[in-house]
Amino acid sequence: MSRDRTDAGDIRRALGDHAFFGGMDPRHLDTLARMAMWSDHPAHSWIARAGDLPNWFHAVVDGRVGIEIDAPGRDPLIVATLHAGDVVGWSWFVDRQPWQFDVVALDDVRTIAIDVEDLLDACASSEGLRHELTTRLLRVVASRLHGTRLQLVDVYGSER
Amino acid sequence: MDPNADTVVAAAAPPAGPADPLAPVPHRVMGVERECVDVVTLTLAPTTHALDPARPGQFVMAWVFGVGEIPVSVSAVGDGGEFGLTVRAVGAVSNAVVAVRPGDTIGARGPYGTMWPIDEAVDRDVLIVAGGLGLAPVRTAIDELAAVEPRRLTIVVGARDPDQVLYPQDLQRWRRLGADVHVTVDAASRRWDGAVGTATAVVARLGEHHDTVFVCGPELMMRSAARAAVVQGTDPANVWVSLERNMHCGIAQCGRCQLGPLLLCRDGAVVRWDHVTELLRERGR
Repeated sequence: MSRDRTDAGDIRRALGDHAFFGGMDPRHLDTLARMAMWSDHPAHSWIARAGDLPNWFHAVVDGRVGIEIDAPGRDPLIVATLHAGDVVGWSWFVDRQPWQFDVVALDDVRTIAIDVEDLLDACASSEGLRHELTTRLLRVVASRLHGTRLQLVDVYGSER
Repeated sequence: MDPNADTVVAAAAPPAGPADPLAPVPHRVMGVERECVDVVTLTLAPTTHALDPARPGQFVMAWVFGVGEIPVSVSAVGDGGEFGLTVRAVGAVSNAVVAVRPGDTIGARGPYGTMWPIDEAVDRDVLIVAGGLGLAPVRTAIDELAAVEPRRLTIVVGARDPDQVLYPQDLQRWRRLGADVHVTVDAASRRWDGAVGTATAVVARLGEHHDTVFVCGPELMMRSAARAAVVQGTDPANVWVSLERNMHCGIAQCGRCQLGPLLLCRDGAVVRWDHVTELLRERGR
């Protein structure tokens, strides 16, 4: 993985264009841009490992990211892919729990990586930013929960 | 269609005579293509007279002599009365259908039911969402829409895993014709180069308004995808789904496929989403 903080203006524009952050108050985007950097992940490299503490909040800009479960006795299984416009992980926002699953770059992946510690500090001092992120992350959680439930009932497995 | 609606009948000869609307027409099995472990596509040709050509979305009743008959959507239409049926082995009759070999004879009657509104959709921006075996009933609709210029066709295909994705060659062909094709599965290894997640998630991620939406697949998936399309701005009157119930007679006489005021063998399988939204909210229907 390589990170690049060189072009803050570029990152600020990319944040504004990103589906997760779209429409956010420009002042909050400015704040986020100051704690963000480009992060490039070659195909098949780890973005995060289960059990690690989350240090970066990644917003996917390009490429596919896999959420992978490694269970004994079987091949690792991708249970979800994330794409441009998605964000990787949300539980860091609640109580900074360790990653529950491995996160792997399935292609060459580019993300905007936001420093989680800086971000939580900023949320502690800005109710507006905290509210914006809470609302958006709840949308992500709701969407992923909905998808997980459909996968859980195995709609195609019971197909007749 | 719903092969689990297998109607096991006595091993008697089918009723004879062209005037009998329930009389199956014998068809020779010209080809058997295995799509995945429990799904095959049969190519059938009439041995006496051809059935009327099925329009996209219509189904036939396929009869295995001595076993029974099941409703099956027509997944291909050829010359000289030939047509294709894609069947998953899940019940007595569908297992018998899947077990046939080239040269065998099976019966077919129909085609029955409503069709995808191709004429309305042809000049519009169309989204087709197909899950699992649900790609079969929209296959000929996609063929017709993909052949039209200007082409504004988005296809989202969902499956349980990569080995269960139907018609991979068709997916490539539709891409070459200019359709925007997305394939997603419920789980996969890293060798899979598509998406993992639900078809609904893909519809939401596309975030696009489509003038017309066709949805076909397991009912849970259809409900979820249809709602997602409406959230993206499609008028519910322009969302169409293909509903399965226990189609038995095919001619709206037996009532087994009733859904509220609808007899789905006649009034479906293709129905407008806003016509069935409330009906589907009622448990047990």
